[in-house]
Amino acid sequence: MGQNAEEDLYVQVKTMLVKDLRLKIAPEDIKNTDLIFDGGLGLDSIDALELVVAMEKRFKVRIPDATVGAKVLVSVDSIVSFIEEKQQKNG
Amino acid sequence: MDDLTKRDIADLLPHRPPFVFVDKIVQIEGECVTTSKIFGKDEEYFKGHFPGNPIVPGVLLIESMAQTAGIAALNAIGELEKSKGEVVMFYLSRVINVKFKVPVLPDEEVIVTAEIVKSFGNRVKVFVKSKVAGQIVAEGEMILSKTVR
Repeated sequence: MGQNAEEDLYVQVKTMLVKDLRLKIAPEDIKNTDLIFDGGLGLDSIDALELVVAMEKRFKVRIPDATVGAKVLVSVDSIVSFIEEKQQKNG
Repeated sequence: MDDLTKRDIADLLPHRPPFVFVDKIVQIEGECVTTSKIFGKDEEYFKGHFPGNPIVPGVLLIESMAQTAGIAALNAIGELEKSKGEVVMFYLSRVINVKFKVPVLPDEEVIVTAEIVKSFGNRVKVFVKSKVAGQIVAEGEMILSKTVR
């Protein structure tokens, strides 16, 4: 994935977080390393389900279970990496 | 999996009178459950909601949809645990964008449908909808959390 495409994906993920999880901040105020949970963006375990639904809807990537979710739903960086990996596999 | 439409509501929900807001299960199709409920005109709360102008409280419509969602969730994932001899319960964790489109009157039959959107970990997201005489009176989404006792 080229640099511009990757930057675009970061913007899309941050926009998803703000819109679909109703965050009260602007997408550009979210850092790539901000934690999704544990006090980072202020989301909780109930939001994890909404995040999984949003990722399936917007990026067509499926998080199969909570074990994978615990590794993927850590930061914007980890979410972008997961989406890139899945999209590359799907061609 | 047995036919939940033939089961007693008290078998499927932990709720008991006067807080049961599902009269009967009408249909179960895949991950979609349909129930019905009539809020009878003699219910005590109609005296105050509102005097001379009785309307079913929105919170009770939400509760009816949540209980139907609980049956849908049990049908979708709970039965697996139940077969191991454990008791599965679902608590209402979040109500999302519920709209009340038309007031519901006493003695109207409310048809409630709950369809599983996604299960993840111990949570289930459910799309819920209530209709009276074919017209949507309320709809939205809910998240339920599973506990096993």
